[in-house]
Amino acid sequence: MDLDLAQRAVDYALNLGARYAEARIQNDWEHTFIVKNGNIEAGAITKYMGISIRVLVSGALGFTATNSQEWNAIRECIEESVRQAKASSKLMKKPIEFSQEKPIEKTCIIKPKKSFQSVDVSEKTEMLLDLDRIVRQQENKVKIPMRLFFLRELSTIKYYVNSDGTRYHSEIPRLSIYYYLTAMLNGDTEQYFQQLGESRGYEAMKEWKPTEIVENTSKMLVKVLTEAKPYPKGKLDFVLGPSVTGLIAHESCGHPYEADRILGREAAQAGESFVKPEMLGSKIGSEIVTVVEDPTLPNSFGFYLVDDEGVPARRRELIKNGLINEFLHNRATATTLNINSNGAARAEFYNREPLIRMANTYFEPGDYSLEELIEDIKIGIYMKNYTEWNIDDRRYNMKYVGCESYLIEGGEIKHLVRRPPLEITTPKFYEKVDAIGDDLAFEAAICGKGDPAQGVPVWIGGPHLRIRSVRVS
Amino acid sequence: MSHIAELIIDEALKCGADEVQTKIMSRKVNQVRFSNNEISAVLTLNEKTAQIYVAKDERALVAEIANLQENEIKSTIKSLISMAKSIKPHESYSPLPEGPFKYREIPDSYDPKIAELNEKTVELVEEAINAALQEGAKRSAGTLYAMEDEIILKTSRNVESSHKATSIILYVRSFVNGEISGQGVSCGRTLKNFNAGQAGVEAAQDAIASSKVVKLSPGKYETLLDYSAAAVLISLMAQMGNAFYVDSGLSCMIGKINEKVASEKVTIIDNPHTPDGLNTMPFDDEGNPTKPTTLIENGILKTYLHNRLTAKKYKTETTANAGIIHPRAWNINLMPGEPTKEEQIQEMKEGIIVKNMGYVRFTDYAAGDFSAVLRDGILYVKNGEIKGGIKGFRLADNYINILKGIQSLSREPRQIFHWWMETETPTITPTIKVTQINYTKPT
Repeated sequence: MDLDLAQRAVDYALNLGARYAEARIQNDWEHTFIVKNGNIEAGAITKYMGISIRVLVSGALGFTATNSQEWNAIRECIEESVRQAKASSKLMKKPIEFSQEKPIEKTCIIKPKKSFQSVDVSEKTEMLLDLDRIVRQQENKVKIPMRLFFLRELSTIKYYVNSDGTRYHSEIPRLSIYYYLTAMLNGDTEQYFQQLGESRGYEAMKEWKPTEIVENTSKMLVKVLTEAKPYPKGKLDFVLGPSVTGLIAHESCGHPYEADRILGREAAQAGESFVKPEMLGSKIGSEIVTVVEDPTLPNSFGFYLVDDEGVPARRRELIKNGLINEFLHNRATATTLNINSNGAARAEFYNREPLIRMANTYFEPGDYSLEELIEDIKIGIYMKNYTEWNIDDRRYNMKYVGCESYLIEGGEIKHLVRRPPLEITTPKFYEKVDAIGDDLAFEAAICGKGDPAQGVPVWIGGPHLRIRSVRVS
Repeated sequence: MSHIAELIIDEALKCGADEVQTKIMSRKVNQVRFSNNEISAVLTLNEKTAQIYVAKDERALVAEIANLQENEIKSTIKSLISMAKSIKPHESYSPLPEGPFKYREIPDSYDPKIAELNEKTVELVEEAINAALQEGAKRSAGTLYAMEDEIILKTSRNVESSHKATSIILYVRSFVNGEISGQGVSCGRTLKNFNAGQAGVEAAQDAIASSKVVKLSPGKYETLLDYSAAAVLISLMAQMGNAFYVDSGLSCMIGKINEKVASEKVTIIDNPHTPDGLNTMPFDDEGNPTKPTTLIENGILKTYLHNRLTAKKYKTETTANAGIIHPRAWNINLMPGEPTKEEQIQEMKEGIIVKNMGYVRFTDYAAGDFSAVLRDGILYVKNGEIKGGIKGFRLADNYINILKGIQSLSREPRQIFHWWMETETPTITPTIKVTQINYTKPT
């Protein structure tokens, strides 16, 4: 399967009467190793390869996918898709159109410095078992009886062709570790999970230093269970750590600025947005806030250079100096709002339609050190990371519960507090940001969306930041 | 497809596997996505994939591949066997069961009318949209799936069987006044009980019932969980009762076998033979004939769901819920009660009806503390009458406390399976009345 087959599929769709057609051949390969409670649960190989074709016919959109490599089977899928798109066009009051985008020819191949194949499987499983041993070493009266570790090596190869003349080929490796720990003391439990991930080869493992990370997490859980006191109530200031601010940037800015949510296309699934098209340019919060969305960050987990509609990726500033600045678009939403796409269309596998997705979302750093953020607080909480979160489907009403969190009193960190909640509306949050840290850190995640559901790799990131005067009950 | 299964078994044994299992899955999907009363996209899928499990020297390895060409199959098996040399044995390795087995015929699993729907799916969506509009909704969105599946299972332990099934699933979300919404679901293996128009009507009715907003302070309230919300809650038992998740700390049922985990009114059965159940299946991934398993009986946790690996660890028998590596649930059934839903509402002095919820996130799986976002109808009830809709509430409580607080179950259960990821296991549930559930609201 290659660009020529993709071209053949596009040409055939056009011959059947499609006004526009695109074909994406995608080959996803994954090795996963799972260690649970000190034992190797399984080694797994996943290989998904197939072709998808999208067509615009009489103003309606058809998508078809198959993993058959036989031309007859692919041809039948295209015919079915065109037929069904025509049938659905009678229900269209307004035809779906794609924005005009300049055709490109591009290749993006990321060669790992250390390929996954060059590292023996036993070294990988021993690394996971080592992490497990390090966790156990932190036990005292606090036990950590449940320990789950995943190592995932991924490789995605894409060939993309569309009827505008775009041809794109990419090969991107990804490495990820995910772990979940449960600590217990006298019937009380505390849990923590974290994912590390980058778009490169096994060379990332050495730089991540997972043993240090897991050791620190284990020590943190032990301390939370043995030392954390109840959190104070009332009006408190918060300093939020990068893993919290990254999640907030993703959930309360990235998602509601996805134009398909804004225009209602995801209404029955992920939901809609409290943001409306006419709010572009209006103030959403403090002028010191800028939220960036950038697929082109080198090595990032959400990295890509051309999206799955053939549009080049670029940095997007969703919020700029406190103003709603830009939405995330695909070619259909861009047409609706009379602009060009900014390359936000992504699909997980060959058998999933491209949807508007984030890549790497983060608050731009400011110029405060952590000490400066804290020293100005009379009474507050330093929420370094989180254990629970959710947000409503309009992305308006959100909640984060701290895992490692501290009481701040008189400008100083005093002691650990247990599970303080930050439950706030999105506009209130952005209004209350009054200082942003000068650091920046990212965590990896898999972001889910769509129907059928699909997950894409992303980074979520931020510096420390401070918000003032939040009621905590 | 059976020749592919044979190739896999033969090749794996030739390469030195001690035992082999393969599951070849063929899936055809017709899907219609709609929003703003129009079709957003029509999607079709035609794929065949193979799961390959090999065990060698008590190492467990599995692959899932979508390229079923002979050279790719052989290469994958070679990689699995090679991996086996470099990993340690599974702590509770247990061989696959020795067949052959007799499997139960499951009626009403396959409806040729669903397999032949093709572009007629658009007409069903049109029916749902129009029904919602006629009932008073302003706009509707949703998804319709019509699917045809065929599975062939073969193992090196003399197990061979196949199963064909169809599914139809419609989810409708309707809006009045901007963001006020309601939802309707219709799903099953056949078209027998499927009603697209009724799903549209219910979505519109729920939205209209919520459109008059009333103010209410957060706190603890008597609650009726309507079908979709009840399904989200009860479907969590697919994870909470799963031995893999118990072992991983991702369950609040750890160490609670034979303990009270719910009100005595609660009996939950995982049933692979539920009529019209979307996960009805005669055999599990190991080839065991499937059977109903009572997870909770009159409030007492009776067992976890097991495959051969977890059963060995827990020194018990498999419950025929394999997953080749970890167990999985089939159709989660909460046994119904006596009153009608209307009677449940009439008895409420002051309370809340929750139509749907999602984004369930646990602070602590082991303790069961979680919160969920509510949508598609949160209604305030006073003296048995619905007074209006509530905005901005979040459910924040404890899973076992809610199960223990169940005071009544309605008499007519429904199958719910929809909405993205929140009800991943088909759940057949009545409406549930809980003594009190806690709600919070943001600053």
